[in-house]
Amino acid sequence: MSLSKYLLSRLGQALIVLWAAFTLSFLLLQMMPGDAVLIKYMGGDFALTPEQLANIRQIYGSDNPPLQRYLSALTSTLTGDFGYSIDAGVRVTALLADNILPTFRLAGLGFLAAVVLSFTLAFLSYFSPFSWLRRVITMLPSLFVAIPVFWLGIMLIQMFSFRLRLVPVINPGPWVGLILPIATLAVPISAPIAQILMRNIDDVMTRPFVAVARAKGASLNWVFWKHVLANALLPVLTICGMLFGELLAGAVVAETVFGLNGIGRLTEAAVATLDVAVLQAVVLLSAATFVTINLVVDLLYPLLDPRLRKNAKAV
Amino acid sequence: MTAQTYMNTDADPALPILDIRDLSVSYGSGRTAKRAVHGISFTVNRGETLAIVGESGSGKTTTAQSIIGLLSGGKVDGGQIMLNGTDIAKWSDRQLDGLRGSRIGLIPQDPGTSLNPIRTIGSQLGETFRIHRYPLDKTGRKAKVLELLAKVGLSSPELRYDQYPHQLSGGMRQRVLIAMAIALEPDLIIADEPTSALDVTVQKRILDLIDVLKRETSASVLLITHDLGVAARADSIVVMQGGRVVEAGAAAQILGSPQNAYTSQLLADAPSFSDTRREHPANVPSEPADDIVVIEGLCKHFPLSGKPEGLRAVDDLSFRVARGSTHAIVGESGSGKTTTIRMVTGFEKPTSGRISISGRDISDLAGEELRQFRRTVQLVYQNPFSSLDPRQTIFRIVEEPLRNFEPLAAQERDRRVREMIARVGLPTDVLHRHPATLSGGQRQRVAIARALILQPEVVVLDEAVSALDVTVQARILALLAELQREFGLTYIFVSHDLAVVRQIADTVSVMQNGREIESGPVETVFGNPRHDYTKELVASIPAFRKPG
Repeated sequence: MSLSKYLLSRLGQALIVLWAAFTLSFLLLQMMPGDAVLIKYMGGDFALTPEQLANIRQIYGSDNPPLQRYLSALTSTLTGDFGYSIDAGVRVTALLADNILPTFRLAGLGFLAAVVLSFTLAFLSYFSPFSWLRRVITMLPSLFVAIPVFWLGIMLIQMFSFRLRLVPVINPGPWVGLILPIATLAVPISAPIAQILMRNIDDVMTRPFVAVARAKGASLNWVFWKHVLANALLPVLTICGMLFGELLAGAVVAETVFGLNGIGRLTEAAVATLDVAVLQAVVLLSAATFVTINLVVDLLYPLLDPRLRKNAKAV
Repeated sequence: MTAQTYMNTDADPALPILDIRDLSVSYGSGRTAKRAVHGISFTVNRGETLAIVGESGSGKTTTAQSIIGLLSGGKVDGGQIMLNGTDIAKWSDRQLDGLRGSRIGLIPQDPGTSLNPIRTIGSQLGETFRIHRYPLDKTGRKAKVLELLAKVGLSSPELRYDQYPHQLSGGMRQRVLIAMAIALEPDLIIADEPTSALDVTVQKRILDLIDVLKRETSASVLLITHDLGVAARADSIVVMQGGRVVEAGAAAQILGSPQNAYTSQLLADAPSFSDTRREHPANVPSEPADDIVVIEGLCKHFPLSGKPEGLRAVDDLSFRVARGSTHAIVGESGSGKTTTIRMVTGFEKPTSGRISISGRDISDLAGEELRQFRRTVQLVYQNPFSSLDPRQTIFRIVEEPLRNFEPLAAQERDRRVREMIARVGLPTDVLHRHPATLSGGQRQRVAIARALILQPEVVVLDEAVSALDVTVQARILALLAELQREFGLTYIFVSHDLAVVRQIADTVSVMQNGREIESGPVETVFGNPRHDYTKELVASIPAFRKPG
């Protein structure tokens, strides 16, 4: 199969995944009791009459039968129109455009920090001259994964902002303010990466080709960089693609705890106000990113492992 | 003759390449330490090939690993490893790095896993020069590597240079590994079971290559092997058992007149040396019509993308097996042996042709009929370690076929299982143990018991003794012969080991690329092979023509 053919078939699969994500989320959101109109306009001093509510619902089209709503939502989504946010009263696309960059920045930097952290742990454990240090390091990932993100965020603020006064809480600079959220995000994400990397390094070390390289006179250092690391990376790549979902969930919590604007905050608000159009768009956006990242991961495999190259045939 | 006197009578005035003195190695530390090598001594002279022979657990590989300083988890407790007159036993890892690859080369056991799968052949071979900082630039290194690839007999070195290990066959990979070992012309080449993972014909070519290169580079070879047939090519032999040297001396002497009882036992058990064939009760079929297995024009094609005719795994195969006799199918990997037995046991449908067992055409059996047919034909697999469910007790494993087929009372099942376990020579106390606590030979006995409990007529033995040490192998072969006599069994014996086939089989089919190229009584086929490929196979039985 040629590369373009492969890409086409993967693209087709991606579209099916996106459609399924859209439909499933639509179904789930429709099953929720209550709606955004009710939450926004009921109660308080601004309470509207049932007639006025019905009128608003008619404007948003939310009183149509479910199937009709599904089809109209699907067709408008296909044209890139996600409808209006009832709560904010603006186009969903405009909301997304405002919030997408901060979140991608946070998630991207958080992921980068997680990779750096996990690789540092793995290197330390491999090159550690003391077996006790090695044992401590190999235990760290289990600890990391056990820490809840919101608790870690609060603890970091408590320590670095209030006690040590290193990072200001009120009006920090745009980048300084990201330090603690990134740390909060990176710690739990780094845990599975570090764990898999360390286990794979140990596993590759026992393979006969490493003994052969040692028998050629290669030092432990040489063997690690030239033979072990690249072989240990393949499963790590897989887990990185899958960790994206967790990254997004972590971003929601981190943005809420640190009061940052972004998709996470937007999602949280949309859930609270049952803003279906926004939620629907967020689900679709996440699914699209997930699919793209995993496609990139799949395209990276053959670059790392010649055995997966399609054109490589035995001679 | 002991190892000590062998060393003392060594009259060579020149310094030996390798002089092992009183070497002890143990694994683990403190109270859990377990000694694997107990004060062994031997000498490898310049230009000599010395073979260390022993079964698994004899300490032969541990000895080799301690010489090159790559004991995984073990440590040298005492003694000296004199390489060219210098004791390297206590050298640090860093010091040894300078020796490994340059003064000592290693040819590993399994070419399948001994090359880095994600780096090209060229870069892995050139690496040796880079590690030892040879003053070579990229082009110079490449020229060196191409020269080496040609030297070890690989065709089109330019092409190989940019290929990855998975694009090469096992034999080709072993040639690459040999090229690595000899790249810097070391004084000593350690070959650790260099051919045990290869097909027989490839085995012989690889051993020949090692011999040639040894002469060319005037290196000495330390050959580690469990196969006395392979060891017979060495100048001298050291026999190890339980971490001790039990006998050492010139190869001809050890093989010709062994002094030690264990060596004699090894020799008697090695199929390539034993001249005595087992008794053949069914050597001459009682009546010509009594052929229990009749295979006619058997074909199996697998669809293959890009090839309309597909892969012809088995192509027009025919043979007959007389009741109570043993028919062997021999051939190398990819010759169609496995596909053939999968069809004979009803796990695969033939594309065309006829398989008749016990007068019944089985090619079209399906469903319950096929299930019932499986009582008639039972299988014993190659690997006694993976063919038994590790979570079941031996009793359960042997009992299971009975539960599947016979509506028997629990008591009756219990009686039959006990009877069968005793019959295959296992003590009753194994019944409540799990496979992990048994040795390889014991496990294969369990597998045989499981196959025989349904009283089948035909037993298919798929490389059933290939994974076992020679002495264990000999005992299992004897047991199979006994059971055959007692129950009138018919065996279909699949093997790549012609020495074993010669010992056990009455008739044989030689397969190559899915086709049967020769067939007939073992004496005729092996004694007077007509086909070139059969000739090559027979010639590659290690030490076939050497007197035992």
